[in-house]
Amino acid sequence: MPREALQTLTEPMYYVLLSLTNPMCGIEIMDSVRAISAGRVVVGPGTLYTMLAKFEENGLICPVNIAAAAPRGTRRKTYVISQKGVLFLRQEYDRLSRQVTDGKRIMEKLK
Amino acid sequence: MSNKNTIRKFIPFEYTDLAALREYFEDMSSQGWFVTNIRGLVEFKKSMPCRLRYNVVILPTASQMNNKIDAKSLEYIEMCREAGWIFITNTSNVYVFVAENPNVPDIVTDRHETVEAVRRSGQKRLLLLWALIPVLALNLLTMLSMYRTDFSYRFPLTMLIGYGLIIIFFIALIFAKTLSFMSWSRQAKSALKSGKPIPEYDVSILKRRRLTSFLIVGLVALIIAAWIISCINQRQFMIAGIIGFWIVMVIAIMGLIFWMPSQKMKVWEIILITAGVMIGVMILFIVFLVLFSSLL
Repeated sequence: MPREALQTLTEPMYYVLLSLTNPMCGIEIMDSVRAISAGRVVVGPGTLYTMLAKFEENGLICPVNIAAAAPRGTRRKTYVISQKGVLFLRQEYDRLSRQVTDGKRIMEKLK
Repeated sequence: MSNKNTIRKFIPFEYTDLAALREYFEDMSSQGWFVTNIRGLVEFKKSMPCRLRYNVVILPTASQMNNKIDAKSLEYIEMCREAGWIFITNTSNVYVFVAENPNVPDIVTDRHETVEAVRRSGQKRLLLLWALIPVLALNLLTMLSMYRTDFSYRFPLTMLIGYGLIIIFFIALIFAKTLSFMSWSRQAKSALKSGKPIPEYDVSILKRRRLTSFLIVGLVALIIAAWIISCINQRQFMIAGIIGFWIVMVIAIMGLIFWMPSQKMKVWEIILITAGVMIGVMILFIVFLVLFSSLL
């Protein structure tokens, strides 16, 4: 299967990457996304699993020392954003900011 | 196959029916029947009625060819468990989860992901069915040439017609399945584009699928019965019986091969069951042949 390169981020993806600026496991990411977006964005565990696999495949996140982070007897994985991920997130942030600025200029004229 | 605390139901389903399956499991749990196994017959166990939430999902990492739960699937299950979804059972890459908390988010919250998973798995299943078409067609052609050519033994016309009907029927069935799946895919794609809800079948689709399955089995049985009865002499009848015996034997062994690894059985149990099935099928066919050939 060819490697699928990420062009832009969907809204849930953006919030997940924001959350991973701190090392987190699955449930922590889900809680963090909900907290950052004030409950507006909800990511289910299955969607998160697929998303994390895609991020890892694209080198945007990397697993943290799994054995040390996971409690005994669990398969919990902890991830953190990589350098490439930070760059990608910043590009996305700039793109969204430009969209907001452009939109703001037009919307203010409408008032 | 049922006692008062356990019931087993025949519930055939397609990848497009997962929402209907979820609805069905929720209905059953509110009546006190909780799904415990969906491999083969769907098994329910009796307990106190309560309202539970079910999610039936396609695991992107799981195999479509067996029921094995590998390391990646275990990671997925663990992530769902942490979010409040408990894994119940699976068949191939279809996994059933239950949650007591009504407020936990669905396992898959991305509409595109849901549609893509159904499309990918559905296409693979259809591809396998389409791979059967040349084999079936070739088989039919071979029989046709055997009928036309003057072999030492010539196939009777009735046998050829019966066999041909079964093969044509299966090819038509594959076409019908493909058309139905394509129609769902088109509707789903258009729903994604327009932001409308993804097309979901309600629980009545399961009843329709069951009825269709019974009709298919009934029709095939009817064709086979007509085919066997139309064989007028004992020799032809014996040949039909032997062919039938090998078909059932191959189906039984294939079934065991797919079923046994999921049961975590010991080697001696597997050998015993295989031998038992083979002897059982053989005895059944001998009885069948003796009984019917005596009638001719």
